[in-house]
Amino acid sequence: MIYSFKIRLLTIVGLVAVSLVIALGRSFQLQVLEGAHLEKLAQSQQQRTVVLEPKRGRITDRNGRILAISIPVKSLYANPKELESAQQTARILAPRLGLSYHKLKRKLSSKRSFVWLKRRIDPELAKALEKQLPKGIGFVDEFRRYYPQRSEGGQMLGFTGIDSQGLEGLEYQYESLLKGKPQGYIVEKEGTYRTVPLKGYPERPPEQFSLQLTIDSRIQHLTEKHIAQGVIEAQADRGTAIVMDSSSGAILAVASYPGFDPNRYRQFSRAHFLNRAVTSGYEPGSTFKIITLSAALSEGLISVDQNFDCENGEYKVGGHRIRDVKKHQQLSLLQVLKKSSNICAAKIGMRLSPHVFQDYIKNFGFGSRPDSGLAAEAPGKLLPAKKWTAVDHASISFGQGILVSPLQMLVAINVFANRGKLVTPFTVQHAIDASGNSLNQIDPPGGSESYRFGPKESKRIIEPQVADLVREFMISVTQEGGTARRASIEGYQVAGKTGTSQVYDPKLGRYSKTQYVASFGGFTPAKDPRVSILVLIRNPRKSLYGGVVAAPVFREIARKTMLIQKVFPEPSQPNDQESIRVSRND
Amino acid sequence: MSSVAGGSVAKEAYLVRQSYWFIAGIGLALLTQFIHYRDWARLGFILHLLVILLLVLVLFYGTGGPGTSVQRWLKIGPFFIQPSEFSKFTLVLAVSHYFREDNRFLQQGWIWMAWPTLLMLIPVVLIIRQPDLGTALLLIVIFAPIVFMMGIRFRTILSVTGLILVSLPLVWIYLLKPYQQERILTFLNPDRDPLGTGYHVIQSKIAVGSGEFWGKGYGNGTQGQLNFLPADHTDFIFSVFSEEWGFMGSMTVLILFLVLTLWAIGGLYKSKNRVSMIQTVGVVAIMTSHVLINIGMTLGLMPVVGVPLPFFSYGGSSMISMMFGIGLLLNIRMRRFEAG
Repeated sequence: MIYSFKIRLLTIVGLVAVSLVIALGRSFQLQVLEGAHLEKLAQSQQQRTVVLEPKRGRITDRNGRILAISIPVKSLYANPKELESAQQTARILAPRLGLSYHKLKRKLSSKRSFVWLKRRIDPELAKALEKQLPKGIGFVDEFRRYYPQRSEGGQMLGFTGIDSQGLEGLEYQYESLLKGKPQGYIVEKEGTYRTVPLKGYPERPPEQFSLQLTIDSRIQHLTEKHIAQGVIEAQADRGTAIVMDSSSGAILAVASYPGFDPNRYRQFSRAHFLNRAVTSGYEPGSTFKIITLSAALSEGLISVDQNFDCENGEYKVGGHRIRDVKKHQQLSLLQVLKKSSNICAAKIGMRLSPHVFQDYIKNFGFGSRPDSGLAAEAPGKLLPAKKWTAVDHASISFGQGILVSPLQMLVAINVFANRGKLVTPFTVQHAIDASGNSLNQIDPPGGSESYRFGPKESKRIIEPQVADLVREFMISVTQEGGTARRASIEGYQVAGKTGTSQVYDPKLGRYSKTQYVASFGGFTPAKDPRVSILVLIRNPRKSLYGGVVAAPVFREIARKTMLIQKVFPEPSQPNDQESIRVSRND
Repeated sequence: MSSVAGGSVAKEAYLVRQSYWFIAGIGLALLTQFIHYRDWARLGFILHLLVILLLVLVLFYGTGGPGTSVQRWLKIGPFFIQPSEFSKFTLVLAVSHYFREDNRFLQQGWIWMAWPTLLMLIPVVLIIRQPDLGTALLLIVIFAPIVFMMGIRFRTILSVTGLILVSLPLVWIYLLKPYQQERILTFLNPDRDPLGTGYHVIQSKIAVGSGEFWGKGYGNGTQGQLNFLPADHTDFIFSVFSEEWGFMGSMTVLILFLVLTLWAIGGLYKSKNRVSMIQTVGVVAIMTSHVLINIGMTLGLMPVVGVPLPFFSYGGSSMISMMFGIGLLLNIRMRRFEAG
């Protein structure tokens, strides 16, 4: 051989060997030296934490009837990277989903690997689509909130948004309990060439806390019906009614008309969402006189057999004229309330010093939130006693110049149903945890607020004798010659007080001559009260008196509630005799 | 182990089909023995011309699979064949046939190189046109050690190398398609496009590395089974293997290939003729170049080119041609004591 054959052969073998050794060295570097690090990289890309939206807890009424529930539904998504043809897929899907072709095509042409096509689709459509799902299209399980009672109790319950978050009402108020803690799960992820993985999901976690309310759907239903009727018949703007269990303070129904259906809340304006029983203030008017009288009686400033000069319908205080609807000369204390004289109420109120009067007002719960569990409670507005002018003092005595919420007023009225004790209202009976245990208290770990449910301790604010006396006056209101004859129910004794108040118009800077709030608040049966009810009608046009527009609504709600509560009418025992007998006893 | 029903059916089907190809390959390796390697050389020369013809046909009638603009396969009946895959062996056989008469070439000066170079260059150009730069370069890589063993002067080697280096910028600008440039750039820095072309390399390195020393065990490679690796049963089979068998596994494979190379070259020490020498060096060059390019690619040492790993990657063409190579080596080894 002319050239060194063997050297050349060895050169080739050497090159091959060196190359293989380099590959071996690289393997050693990756697998042994960097192995642990690359294993971590592998895990981090293969696993991801998926936060599952837990099934939201349900809301039921006191009898277990469902008021709000989450129903599993399917949502359609696409992974545009996997689609064979965005155009063709859009053409097939657009008519079935009821979306525009161009909009859908744009979504399907996205560069992202996940786009929602339509969330919460019709179950039947989902079933049909599932059979022939194009590549790159898939379903995700979600929940839709459903309110079987529709608009009934809508403002109280509120609603949830697209991501199942509570936005209004109790849904908002108890968001953290109902939603529960979202839990993270580690699932396997696949490479970019495969479908977004939905396999390996653990079973859905159980429902979080559910709420059992004090609401009775039957009473809620009739309350809704009658407040609506009342508003329509009075040609009013709107109305609110609250029904409360007199002794415990449990709210049985709370309704405002016009309402809204939380199932399709988007179709209503925000004004319909307000639970006006707690969110809005009004000047209570004459109803407030029971507070004035109780305060003056408790302080011993007036006595039951005293007569008052009602100035023949016109009385001047601090340069302002106070008027009565009807002219009265001399009225007994009972008649002051029965005939609802503003002038005499002002005179009685003026006997109290502003500070003492204000303390009584505050004790009755005005100026602070009732803590009923309902969302967005307003504290009302109370002018500080030291700023009171004579006119303020006089007007507050008959319920003008003070803003209270309907629920605050009802709580105050209910004091007379409980012989002088203030009962705090409540809406949630108890929470129910995932394993079905009823809980009256929940302390979220590390959480700032703890939740307490059920009745709370009552608080004595006036003596039983004073409360009983005022109650007698309230009974007379619904009797012959009283302002709320229409609130009386055959077979039941009713105690209550009307209210007709002017509405302060901030634009005019004075009371409006056309806007009124007509109300009636009371309880029945008067001697063994079961329910306390407040009915409030705003801007009635047919008649502006509470005794005319609100009292009949009260009567219908009260009568039917009594029947539901299995309190049956007593056989025709004349109401008048009864009350006379009792008042003689006092 | 994949829970995707369609996937596991497909993977089992791969296994069954590959087993058939393996058995067919063994049969071919045995059948190869009946024909003398000199006759193989003669036959190979004719086959090489046929392959060149097929490569021309590929340019007109070839397909590259759905959605690709390349043309690499010819559909003949139910089969898809890839002529470029066979061109490697026919080239080796054709060159060995050309040099069948000893010592005739050295007297002719540099002209002796012209014919073999042409045998190499025609398919190279045709394959570049497909375009399949990887296979084209492989032909050059296979040709180089043969020429080297034929006694090309070191001076020539240096000037050719210099010429290649100088022409590289021109090749880059005029010859390489944008996607090929992209692959090379990404090879130099895979993080430049981690979800695009760099994805393969990054995922492959993660797969190999996460196998660590002992591996995750057969069928437990998460990178492969969860489809992070593209082409996990063909070009990136070594990544899957290394993930599941660890450093011990990849070391074993590399050592086995080294043993195969040494076994083949060892036979040449007693070789008396150029035909067997060229065929042996050619077959060794084919196998080792495939092994080094494929494994280098999965380890991030080489740019990503579609080169299968001999005896590992799924695919009938690769299995059959590599088994033929083994058969040829056995053929030469069996006849090593023949005179002249």
